[in-house]
Amino acid sequence: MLAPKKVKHRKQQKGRLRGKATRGTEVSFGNYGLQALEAGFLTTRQIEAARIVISRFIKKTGKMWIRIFPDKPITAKPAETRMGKGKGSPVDWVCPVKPGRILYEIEGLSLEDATEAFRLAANKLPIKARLVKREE
Amino acid sequence: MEKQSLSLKVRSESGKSASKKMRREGVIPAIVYGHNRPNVLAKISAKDAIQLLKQKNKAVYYEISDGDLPLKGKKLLVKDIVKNPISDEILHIDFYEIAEKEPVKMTVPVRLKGKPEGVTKGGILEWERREIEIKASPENVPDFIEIDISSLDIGDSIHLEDLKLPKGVCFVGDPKNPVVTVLAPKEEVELTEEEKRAKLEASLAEPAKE
Repeated sequence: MLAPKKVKHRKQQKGRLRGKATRGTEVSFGNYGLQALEAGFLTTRQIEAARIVISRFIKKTGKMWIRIFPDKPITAKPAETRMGKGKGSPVDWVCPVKPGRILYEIEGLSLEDATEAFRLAANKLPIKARLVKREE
Repeated sequence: MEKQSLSLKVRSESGKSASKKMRREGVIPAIVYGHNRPNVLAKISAKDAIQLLKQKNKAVYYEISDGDLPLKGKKLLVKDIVKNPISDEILHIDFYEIAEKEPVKMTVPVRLKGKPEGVTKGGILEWERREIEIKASPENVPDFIEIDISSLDIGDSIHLEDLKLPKGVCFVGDPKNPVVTVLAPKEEVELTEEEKRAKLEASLAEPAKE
């Protein structure tokens, strides 16, 4: 699963996801892309689950790109703990995604296969997403 | 490079609220800039802006036929089009003014010709650069660059330095950069659930490193 190898700070503040994505909004590598339509945090497990679904369709003929990387640590306090005593320990890595961001790209698949692959992949994600084609 | 006429007007108002008002009225804010020339704030009708977007990947330059005094007669290239990523509504256009006898940097689309030998043997065609940045005088800019890939076998590549460019045109960037490659097919090695979990836990337990 995707996770940073080395980080400068182990814990981060939560932040807010306002506005639309300004970078990574165009299909740059493949023919089809999966574009986020909502804002949200995608965890490393969700990114991996969607990747597995897409890679089943690709087999030997196609190629895929993951355009996002989970580099934001999420912390949590243990169960039945009183408030205070500092911030919890890291439990997961997430990628903050804003609407318009391209999440995955694929090449070498027909439109029907790409639509089905991305439909199943979007079902693994906590946000709405749609298929977009490369601009000619 | 093809020449087309365009209507562009000068605008005096700028800023977020003025731009929003303009877009509601069917006008798109734009800017014109160029080498050693002052910037000119401009506006273009939304109808014309959609036509520009359709020709985004074509080698076209525009001559201002209908416009206000500082813009009339200028030759412009479309440098950038800012869009809303969800609705595809055009928000802003950047124009770059071309000077006479001065080379321009432009991205030109690449077209592939033929089916590579390696692909018939089961290889995967990797098209790494669909657009190439070139430097040429405006009249020499080609509409596209065609590459014959029929002789490519598995493991072969075509690099920027191998391209046969028209006279007066040169590429920008590292000559060793690949444009097209035929890769050998490979199957992905799937990790088991336990291996994946162990990998994630190791990344979370790692102490902070400066």
